[in-house]
Amino acid sequence: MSLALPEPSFEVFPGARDAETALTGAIQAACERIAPLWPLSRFVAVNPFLGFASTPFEVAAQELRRLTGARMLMPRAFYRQALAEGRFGSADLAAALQAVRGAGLTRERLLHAAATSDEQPVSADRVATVADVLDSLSDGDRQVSRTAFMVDEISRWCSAYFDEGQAAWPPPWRGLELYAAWRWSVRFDHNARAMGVQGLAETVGRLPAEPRAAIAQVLCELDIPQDQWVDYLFRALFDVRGWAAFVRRLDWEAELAGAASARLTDLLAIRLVWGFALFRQRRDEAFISAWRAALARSRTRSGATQAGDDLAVDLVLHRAYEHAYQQRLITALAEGPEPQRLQRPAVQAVFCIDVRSEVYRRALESAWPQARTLGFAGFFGMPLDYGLDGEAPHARCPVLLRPSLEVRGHSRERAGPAGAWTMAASIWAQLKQSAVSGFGFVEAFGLSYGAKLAASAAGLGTKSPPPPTPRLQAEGVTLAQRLDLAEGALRGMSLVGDFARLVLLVGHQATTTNNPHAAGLDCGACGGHSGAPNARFAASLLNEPHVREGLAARGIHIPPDTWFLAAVHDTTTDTVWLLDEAAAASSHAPDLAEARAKLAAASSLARAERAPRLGVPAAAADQVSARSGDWSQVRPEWGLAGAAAFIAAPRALTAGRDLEGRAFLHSYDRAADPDLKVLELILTAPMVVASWISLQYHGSTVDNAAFGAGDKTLHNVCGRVGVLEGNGGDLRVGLPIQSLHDGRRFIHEPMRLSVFVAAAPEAISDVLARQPGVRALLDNRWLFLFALDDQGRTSHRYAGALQWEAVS
Amino acid sequence: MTWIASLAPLAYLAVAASAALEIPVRRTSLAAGWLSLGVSAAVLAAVLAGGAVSTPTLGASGLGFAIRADALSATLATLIAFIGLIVVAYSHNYLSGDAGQRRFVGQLCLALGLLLGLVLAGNLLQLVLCWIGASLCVNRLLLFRADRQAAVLAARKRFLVSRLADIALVIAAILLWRATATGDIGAILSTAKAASGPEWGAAAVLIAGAAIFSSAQLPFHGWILEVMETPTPVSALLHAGVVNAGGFLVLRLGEVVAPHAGAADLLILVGGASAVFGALVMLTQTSVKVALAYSTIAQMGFMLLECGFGAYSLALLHIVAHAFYKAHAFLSAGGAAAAAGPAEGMRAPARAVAVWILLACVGLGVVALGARTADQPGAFVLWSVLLLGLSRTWLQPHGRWGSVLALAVSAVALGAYVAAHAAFARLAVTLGWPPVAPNPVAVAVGICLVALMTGLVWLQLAAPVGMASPAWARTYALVANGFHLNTVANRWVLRLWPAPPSTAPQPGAAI
Repeated sequence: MSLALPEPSFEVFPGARDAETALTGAIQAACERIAPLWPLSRFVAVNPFLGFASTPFEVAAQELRRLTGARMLMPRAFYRQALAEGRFGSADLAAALQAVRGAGLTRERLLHAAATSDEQPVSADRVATVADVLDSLSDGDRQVSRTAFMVDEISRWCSAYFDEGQAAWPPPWRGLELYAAWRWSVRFDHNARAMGVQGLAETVGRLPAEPRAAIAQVLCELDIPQDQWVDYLFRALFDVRGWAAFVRRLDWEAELAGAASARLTDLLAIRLVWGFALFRQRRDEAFISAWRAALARSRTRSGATQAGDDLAVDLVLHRAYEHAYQQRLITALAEGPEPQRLQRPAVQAVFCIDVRSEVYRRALESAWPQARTLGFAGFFGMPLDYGLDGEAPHARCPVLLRPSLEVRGHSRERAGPAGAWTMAASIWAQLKQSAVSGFGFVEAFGLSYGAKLAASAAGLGTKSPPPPTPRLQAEGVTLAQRLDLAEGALRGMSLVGDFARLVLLVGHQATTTNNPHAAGLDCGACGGHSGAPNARFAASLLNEPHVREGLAARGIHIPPDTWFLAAVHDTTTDTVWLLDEAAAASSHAPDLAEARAKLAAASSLARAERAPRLGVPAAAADQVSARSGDWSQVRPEWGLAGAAAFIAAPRALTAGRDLEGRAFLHSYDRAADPDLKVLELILTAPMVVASWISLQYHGSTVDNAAFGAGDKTLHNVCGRVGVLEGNGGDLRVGLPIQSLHDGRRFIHEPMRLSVFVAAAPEAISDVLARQPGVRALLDNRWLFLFALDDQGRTSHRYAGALQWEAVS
Repeated sequence: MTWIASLAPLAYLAVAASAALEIPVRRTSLAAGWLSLGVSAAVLAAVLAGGAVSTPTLGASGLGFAIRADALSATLATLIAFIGLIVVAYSHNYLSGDAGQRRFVGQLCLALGLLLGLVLAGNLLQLVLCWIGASLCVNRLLLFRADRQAAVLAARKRFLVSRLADIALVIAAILLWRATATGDIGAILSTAKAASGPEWGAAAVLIAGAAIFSSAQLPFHGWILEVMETPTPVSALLHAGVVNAGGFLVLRLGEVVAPHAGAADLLILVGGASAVFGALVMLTQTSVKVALAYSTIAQMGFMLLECGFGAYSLALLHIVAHAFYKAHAFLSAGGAAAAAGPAEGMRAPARAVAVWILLACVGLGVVALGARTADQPGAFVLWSVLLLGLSRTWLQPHGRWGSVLALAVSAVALGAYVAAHAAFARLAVTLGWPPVAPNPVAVAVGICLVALMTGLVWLQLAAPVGMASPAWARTYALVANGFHLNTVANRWVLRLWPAPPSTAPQPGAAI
């Protein structure tokens, strides 16, 4: 049964060039409101509100609430409980009230609202979409309204189109562009008809083949007013926000590589046309009048509503809740710098800025007082494009950057029997997975899975192994480039003198079992991978004699007895592995031996500190390591939960106090940065990445249904790129609820990042004036910024528009 | 002494009862798991050493409770106890912090207790009660996240199909009870060998029907595609334990089913069709748990096919081996993102040659093994399917030495297959299943099946290399949608028995 479809015969918006420009703008604006999503193999944190970064936090909260019903703050009851538990108090409320100014709220009213009322359910003041109207007609039953079916169908279609190797038989339309492929496939796919949705293929066929023209025609036929286009299109995309985020990432990466890409427009067209097909098949009076009413309502947007009042209250409560944490941190920092030791340190250990490093650095400094620790982005300034043994290379750097160094790893034991073993394993996997051999496979080898079950249940053979140390090979990197990289890394970490005999570059990784989101626990600065290749590459560069000569010429004198050594911190087990020890001169053997012993002691301390939060008694802290190999463990570690602050300062200002594993620590010495180059780098890259992480945790905590990944026990890996919750529905973004909540309370405290920089306010303003994107984040209050003086006192608070307020 | 075996189910039932009374079950559920496994394994050892034993029935009119410990029941009890222990232990961390954890473990224990009661049953009444009870209990587990509309839909679909299975089984049981005036399974089986009459034929067909309804076979499979709406341990238990109940029923009452060609043909037809269907649709599925579900449909179909051909010992092997395999696959499904991709496809000229090579290999192999199609259709089909599967790997491009390695892996597989088969054949000797006589339907279906399976192998070699004609697109869409069977089922269930609107969190909802 072939469907001969007529080509569309009429033009949309005949001759209206303005409308076309407006449409292009609206599509782009709607698409840019979607934050990108990286696949599971390199699952890095993304700010889910990225598309709203140029909007003030408060306005974004209101807009999201109005358009999608999603929340950006916790429910009122959360603040009530925090208030009752004394996690913030009336002093914080006063400060918050002062900060928001003129909201017409008083402390008494706030306390009253917090103590007595719950916020009202969000009013119906939304943009009208076909899906919403259908849902409301079926009393919210999204199965009866078929909107759930629509989302399932789009999601299933996308997962086949974007599948990275789960299905052996890929769809034949994968070679086509997204919208063209879908448009073609609809001619053959009759699943909608089987569900009772008539006319999808006919609707698609009658609309233009070009996605923007199809969108235009749907908007026109639905009679959506032009000033609502952006809202309407965004609201439609939000229904498939997971796949939209996935496609947005493809556009993002293409743009980073300098290519134009608008694949999200294609997905938007798919979603819009699907909804339009649902619209077209409903010709009943009830639907038509409901649709007209919704359109009319959306045109007369009521201004201040109960929801708006509630939001104003919640915003102040939230600000007060954040203020309490900031005050605690300000007090801790005001204790002043640790006294400097004069003799040469035994070791300098550079860790990733990751909040998990804070715990470990404190443990190492207490186990080994002669050690000095530093913080720097865990890719050590080496933007690698790295692949091991012919696997597809991936960027090993923050997603804001483009990798510029092609490095390949070659396993030493690749040839010979190991190679044959790998091949035999792949043949075995084929036997297991393919259609017909599966039957024989089960009868031949199924019984052996009994032993495998027992072994997995007992957690055998899953001890976290030391990371592999393949030979690294960089193609075409000149000495000048290597020199620039080395200098950039050392200056970036403010390590330009007083080198110890041993300098450890400690990358990090997490070892978990049976965890779809495993890459989310790895180093985000390495693009959701282990930091080992970057650390090893950086160490080898800094040990190179030519590079050291060049560095000396540029004013960085590394003593000949200084050796850089790569290491990896396994954040699940708190083990630190030293890598490439054999390459070190024998003169350093005692240094390495001491380092090993002290690191082992520090690991024990760090585990003991982390144990209680994981529900393990501190006395049995070594059980923490067992979680890494436990296939039934949904909380192998807490990842970056709790992250709340970013401090760019010399370690002396933060050392010796317990920052609870909640602070990103970046080393920064203003004396070594006269031209503010390093400061500019810190504010544009690590600080922004840290804010992405904190806002990812924030979004997943405040509204997991909208910005999180749902229930981990239902996760179903889809196309090897993402997870579904259960059988169908949209791809899920963000973090699972188990990564945020221990069953009794949220382990992550949802608050915006508080940034403390040990620099003069004028210097920071200088940098912000040059970086409008970063300034917008701060001006719109997506994070808070404070200036520290040399004594660790918080001298100024950033007040927006390059203005500073003195902190008393 | 045989009554000791009843400790295996009773231990779990006691834990389930204590969970219902809000008593913590973390330790006791593990203890019950170990006890149950120990008892089952001891019974298996005793049966292997000393032969089958059974207890008299506790009850009236020949109906009641009894334990029948033989190679079949002891093997399956050990299997269920083993998987049960794994699944219960898994749930302790997996659902840690979940408000419903105790309820979950309690229901899990109840299901395990009833399943153990089912396989150890020595009396029809106990068999029927445990069958129905286990099925209802599984439905409760499917509704563990009852705020999810899709979970409600899946549970309702399963509820409807399970009641069909219940009706078939209850009628069959009544027919058997009236024909023999006893509910004692041992007595029924020994009467069945010499008995004939329409009520025996009807009972045989009904038993086959109950097995088909409960094993997610065509066209009643829809529910199993959606059980991932409940936490993973339930999926593991379902796929590894519960769907086997149908196969167990046929094996348990093999003496009743085997003599009747109608029952055997039903199993061959539905089982064979489901095997091909599941294996075919699985090729197109992109989510790991749905792909596993289609694989289960195929594997259960294959197992029932073996039952239909009278290859009972192979079917028993299939149940046990598949249970281990599928439990592991589900419990480790979270690692799927890191798994290796599928093999490369073959270019067109190579594909044409490949089919002839395949057929030649299979033909030679089957002749060498001495399976004659006409009087041994079962052996013909089963050997062909095995050889097709193995020879497929020889044709896949692997690079240098790849084909040699593929041959070596195949040899290992063949050895393992023969060894496992021999072990279970020895086990089955004590069970004394009667042979199934070949009939023309079985022969015809068998030949069709081998042809279809050959087509499947060809398809999988060909598929990854673009086949972009409209005809292929239409075929792909049909297959990827599972021939729309589940969509139609959903549409009807939604119409006949609409679920209440979802109360699961939507954007904006407080957690």
